[in-house]
Amino acid sequence: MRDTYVLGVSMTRFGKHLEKSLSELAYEPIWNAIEESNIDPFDIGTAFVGNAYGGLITGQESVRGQVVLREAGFSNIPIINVENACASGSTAFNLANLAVAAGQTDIALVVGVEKLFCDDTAKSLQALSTSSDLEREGKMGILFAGIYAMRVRSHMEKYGISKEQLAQAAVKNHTHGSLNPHSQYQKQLSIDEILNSRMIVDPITLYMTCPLGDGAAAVLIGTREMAMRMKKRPVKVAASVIGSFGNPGISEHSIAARVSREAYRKAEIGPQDVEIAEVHDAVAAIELYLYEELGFCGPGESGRMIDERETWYDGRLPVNTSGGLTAKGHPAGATGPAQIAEIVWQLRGEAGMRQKKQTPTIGMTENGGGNVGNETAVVAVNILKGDP
Amino acid sequence: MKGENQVIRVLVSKIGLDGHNRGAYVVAHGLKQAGMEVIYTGIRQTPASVAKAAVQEDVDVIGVSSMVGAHLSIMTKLNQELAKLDASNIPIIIGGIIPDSDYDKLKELGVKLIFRPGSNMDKIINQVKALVEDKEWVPEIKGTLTGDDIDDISLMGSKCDKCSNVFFPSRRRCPICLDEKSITDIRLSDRGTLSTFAICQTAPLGYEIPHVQGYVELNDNGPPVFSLLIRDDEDPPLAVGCSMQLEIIERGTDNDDKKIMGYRFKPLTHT
Repeated sequence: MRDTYVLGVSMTRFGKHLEKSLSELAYEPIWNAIEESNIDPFDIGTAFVGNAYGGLITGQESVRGQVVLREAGFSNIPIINVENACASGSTAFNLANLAVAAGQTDIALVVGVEKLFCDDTAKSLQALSTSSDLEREGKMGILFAGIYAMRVRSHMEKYGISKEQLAQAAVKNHTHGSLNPHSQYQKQLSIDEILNSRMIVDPITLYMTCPLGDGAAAVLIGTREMAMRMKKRPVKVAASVIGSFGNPGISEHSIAARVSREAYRKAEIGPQDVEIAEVHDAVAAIELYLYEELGFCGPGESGRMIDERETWYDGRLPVNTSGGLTAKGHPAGATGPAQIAEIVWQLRGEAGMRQKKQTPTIGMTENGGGNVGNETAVVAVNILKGDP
Repeated sequence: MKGENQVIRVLVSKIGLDGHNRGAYVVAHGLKQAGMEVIYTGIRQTPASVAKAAVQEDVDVIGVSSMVGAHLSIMTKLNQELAKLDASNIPIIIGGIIPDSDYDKLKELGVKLIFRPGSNMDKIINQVKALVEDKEWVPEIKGTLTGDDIDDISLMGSKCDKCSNVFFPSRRRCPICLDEKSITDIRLSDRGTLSTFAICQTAPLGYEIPHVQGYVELNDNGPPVFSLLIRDDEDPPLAVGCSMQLEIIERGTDNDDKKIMGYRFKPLTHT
């Protein structure tokens, strides 16, 4: 296996794009990423297109990737459609990375794209609810906001985390979103506005949850030589790991803990080495739980971590400088590549107003999807390293 | 639970020294003509021999004929014998000379139907059919519930003999050992502890708001069970760590008119 590098990255602003189709959404990120990569587009050997709900929302159940790339001008090359719930884009990235590492192709294109708005909110929510086992938990009317609330509640009970601390994660992410031109929400919110917004599932209020959104992101993966030719800081893919649901009550660690440990091992680092991260805050309140599962702090220390602003963009370990899913938005299939884009921008010092002051060298992304049994169905963790 | 196209099996018995078997013959013949499988024990049986035959023959209904006034003591003893064989769920019907004043006592003893001399045979057939079919059910969610009939439903899981782990819902193959032969379905406890819960102010179509869901850790060290939670006004409030009990609920009927049964958990009201 050879080393792989992230070349160009690009994304649309996330938000409501009712007038645009999946392929129209993906066009600009694809070509912006290609142009930034400084490569010959004829050298792209394989494309992986991540999308979760396009079949249910638009009816285009099959060949979505081919339809998207047809608009962008591509034909002939292998086009692989990737569906892995909200981690579809990260899964496409994982496969593309492996294709380059294994020598199947020298350049792989990753596209993540999603349209969740369709003028019928019930249809959108129905589509999202299919990310559970419909023959089992789905028949009990399991709700994703409820799953997060249950996880947050047991974490609060265990370690005495307060509602204010949960809300601080949302304050942080909305502040970060206000500094990110790609973010769906770009408005700072006070802790009172967050706590007093409509209760969705106690302790989660409306402004702690991610909105419905449309958007696309694209990433190119290539070799070290190509990365050097970009005349930007080369960013190496140090680890790309995917794992699935376990057996709670039997498995020793949660899925996020298991997958991140494997990624640290592959990247030959520890969680203390991570300098910046994008994590799956489908509700902002879950961030605190994730700090602990990902090893950013010890068990029960996440409350202190947010109190001391360690995860703000100017803190020790900024988390979700993009605004996260909470503020930047969560067009499911696009979320993974958009997380990659944010980390690459941070490692290259290109993150504008939200740039970490001391340009980081090691960044990571954590992207979850769906629910099966009592756990998240899929978690993808990527670790990126900038050249020293 | 009776599967499709399965024949209803009825045991027709006479217990004690009562030798008046003409009525039992008529009823046995009538049920047989109606397509049921009838096992006739003959006269002068004991409660123990009838209970044993009922279990061995896997019958759906036990019919007892009584013409000499011994019905109350017969029923008491028959119940005891059935309980010994863990077969109290088999419904019992009785026919013969039964005074009005004993009807309530027989119902208290669990007798489902009582027929006097001269009862219409079609009526007997229809009521026996209804008695059996009423108890037929299907689980709302496959692999979550088990029980021979509707009054005897509990949560179902699977236990692996190799790793001793218990899983819910039931599995065809142990997810730890990946062995198909080591795993068997078991009944799970109907009590547990609430490990976490969420009161959702939004609900999928067809569910009430608030939509309350939680995880219950079962008392027999089973896995955490995802469940919707229900609570009556007088029940204690939901809290992490509170004791919960299983509630089996009816969720409508399927295309074959079988009852669809689901499960919920509610706070434990008595210990």
